Amino acid sequence: MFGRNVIIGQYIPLDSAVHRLDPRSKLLVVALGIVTLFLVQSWISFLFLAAFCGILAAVARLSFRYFLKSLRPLWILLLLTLVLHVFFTQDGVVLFGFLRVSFEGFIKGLFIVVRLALLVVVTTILTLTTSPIELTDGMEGLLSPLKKWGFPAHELAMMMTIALRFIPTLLEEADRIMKAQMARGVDFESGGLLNRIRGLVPLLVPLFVSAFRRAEDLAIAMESRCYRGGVGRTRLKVLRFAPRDYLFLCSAFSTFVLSLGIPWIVR
Amino acid sequence: MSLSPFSMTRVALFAALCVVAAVTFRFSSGVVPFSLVPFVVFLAGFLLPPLEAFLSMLLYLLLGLSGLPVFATPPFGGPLYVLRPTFGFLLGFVLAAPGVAFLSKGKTARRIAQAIGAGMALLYLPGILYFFFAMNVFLGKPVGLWDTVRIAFIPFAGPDLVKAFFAYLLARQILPRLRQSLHSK
Repeated sequence: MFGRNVIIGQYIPLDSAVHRLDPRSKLLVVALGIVTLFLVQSWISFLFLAAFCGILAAVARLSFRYFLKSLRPLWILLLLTLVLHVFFTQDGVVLFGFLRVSFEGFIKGLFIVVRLALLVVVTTILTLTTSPIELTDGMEGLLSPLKKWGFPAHELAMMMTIALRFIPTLLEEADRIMKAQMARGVDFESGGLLNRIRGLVPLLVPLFVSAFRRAEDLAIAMESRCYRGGVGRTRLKVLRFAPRDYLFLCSAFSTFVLSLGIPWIVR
Repeated sequence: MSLSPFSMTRVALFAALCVVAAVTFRFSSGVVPFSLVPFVVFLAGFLLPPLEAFLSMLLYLLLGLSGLPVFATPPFGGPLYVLRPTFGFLLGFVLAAPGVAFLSKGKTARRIAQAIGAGMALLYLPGILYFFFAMNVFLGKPVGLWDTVRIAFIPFAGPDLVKAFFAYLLARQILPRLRQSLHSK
């Protein structure tokens, strides 16, 4: 059914060093990488960051195709940024009439485009190599120091996991109810707009009622197994920093610091 | 804060519904997309208590920001979504759902109209302001406030009002059936 592959489709289950990294270290590096990308002001810095992404992608055995695919929905935005900068930078050369073209604007636009593209590449590497469950686990791990001040890190991660599990269930349920109502003679496909909307009522009402019931069933199942939040809970897969995580964090930090500092060193 | 499993599963359910609404109907037209998410936002407001409505929208936002492709416009997710001019509408969802939930507890027509009006305001004010801010400050495409209203508000306000109204009608059908079929609540 539609939509399901959209959700799961991003993660590519391979067995590489990048896939095996602790999701917490990946999340940290991506967050810092984004900050770095916004702070850097020169092309040499981009070169460093791009090289770092390239090495990561190569180690993760991700083909270039995946990145093109994730950039595709953005290419209009990128092109528009470039075009706007070329034509609307003030110190342009007048081409004819009111139209001015600016080489400086082109460079400036290209800079922003490269920045956005690198942002996409960085986050794509994360989502391609980390499964949704690992992502929520990693977020719980990173947020758990905030538990001291009452931040519900565990509950949040648990709800994220449950929500992810509900998505395919809801789609299947909608499909099933639709077929059941069609068998009873409900017409979903003809008539004007108003008729079609009215036709959705026999789909949506049972869908919501059954969804609420599913949520309640799950809650009862959790209660009867004595679920009481994150306190004292043990897990099957415990996140642990391995040597490769320290290596990854160190190399990422040094790349970021280097790319921030390189303009001063070169100058 | 400790949530009961009943609240947790309901919150997760509505976050999942948001994802389904955003993912199955992706017709993007221009910068601001047409989507069914506002419909789910209003439904959450009518069907859930304020805290749960708020948390479910927050959860949807966090799912998207953590990198899962659950939003309506490309790139569909990831922390850099914060830079999209339409990110303010996502913040609007987080405010509008509890707002509607808070006001819709009454039964009178006036109360419902108030809830829908407040929901629309809470949805669009952050959306428009963020759009204006984003365009002018970090996207470098200066747009006037009036133009922002013309791009981000006028084409969508009508359909969203209709969605809100349908959400109310649907909620009115669902609520009595829930009372019959659920043990809790």
